[in-house]
Amino acid sequence: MPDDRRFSREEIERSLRDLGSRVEYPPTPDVTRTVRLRLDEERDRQTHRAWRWPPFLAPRWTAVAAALVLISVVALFPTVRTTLSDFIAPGDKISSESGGSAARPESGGSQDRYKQESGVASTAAGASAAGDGGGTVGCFAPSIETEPARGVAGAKFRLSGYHFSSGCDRATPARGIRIYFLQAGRTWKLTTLDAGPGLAFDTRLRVPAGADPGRATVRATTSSGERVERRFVVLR
Amino acid sequence: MEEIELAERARDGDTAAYERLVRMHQAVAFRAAYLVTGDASEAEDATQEAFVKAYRALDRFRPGASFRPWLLAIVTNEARNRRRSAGRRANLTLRVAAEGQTFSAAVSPEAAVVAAERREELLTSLGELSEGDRLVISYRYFLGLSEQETATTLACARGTVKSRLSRAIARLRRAMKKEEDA
Repeated sequence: MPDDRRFSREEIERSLRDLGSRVEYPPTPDVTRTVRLRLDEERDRQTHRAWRWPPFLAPRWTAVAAALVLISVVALFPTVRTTLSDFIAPGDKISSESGGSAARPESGGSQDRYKQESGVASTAAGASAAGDGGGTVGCFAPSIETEPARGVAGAKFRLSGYHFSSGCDRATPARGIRIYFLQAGRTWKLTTLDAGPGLAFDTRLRVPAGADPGRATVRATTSSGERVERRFVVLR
Repeated sequence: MEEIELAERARDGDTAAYERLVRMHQAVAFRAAYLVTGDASEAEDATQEAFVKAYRALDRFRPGASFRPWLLAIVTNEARNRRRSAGRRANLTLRVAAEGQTFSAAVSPEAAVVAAERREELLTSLGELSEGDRLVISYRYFLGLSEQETATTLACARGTVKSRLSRAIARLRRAMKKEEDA
């Protein structure tokens, strides 16, 4: 029976081998450069750590010393203490200065401002905390923006990226940043680029010609594997 | 021989030697990752990360052993972790390369069309297998790994590969027969 032979183990194995030689894979990306860059960066970081921090200047002791100085300053100088308490609880200050419900809109405005300011402050605090652990200054999360954020397939758009540093040193621009356009399980690699001295990049790209109308994502992947994404709408 | 030397040199910190190893194996590594993730971008990230991790782990690489299956084990692990962290099942959409339009005298155009249809059927049946079964088949027959290499790559014994292959082929055969009957 020819059909039985077709389903024999030997025949299926032969068919699988034949199939294997014909399967179409996406083109193999050249990862050599990015792997080399990452290994070099790691080696540099290790060398940097090895000579930069003598034991008495180790990051954790520096942080402890800084904290002690800060506490001493706050404790010894009443003006600093007042300024700090005003900054931490501005609402109390407004109510004590203005009093009553008439001050409410202004108070709300101040709180908004306070939220923005404390946002920055907490980022800075988080940054220094990260620095303590890693022996480097803290990281600012990279971000990207598309302008416009919508366009037809084939249209040009501007992509800007910020805070793309190599590691957390906030000094060395990241290299080998890969930009992808993703939609419904499909992926287009748009380009690979390096950040400039300001840790930023600005480039003009095209929406892939094969993209369908609907939601899509622009993704930037750094050589260390960190990803940043931004929504993009492909128009009809 | 050259590969073993390169691995030895890379272990001593020679990044140029490691770069050559990366160039030699990046195609098979990317394909292995793609067979796990089913997504080109994820596969590229997994490949890159796996090469970096492999470099860091070179101290644990047994001198004189084959580099390829050792590397592919790291690639497979990385690709699986990435897919799991993305919280999705691999939606493998392999395609068969389009056949050229010239048919040899020995194969008629009709026979070529039937053969292409059977390949598509086989690919569909393969996609319906569990990940374990699919990987053991695709690593063995698509990537052309030996049974021992497949065992090292999937971190199991050679006997396990044999039995898994046998079971997977039986399942494939049942799926194809069912398709044929339908």
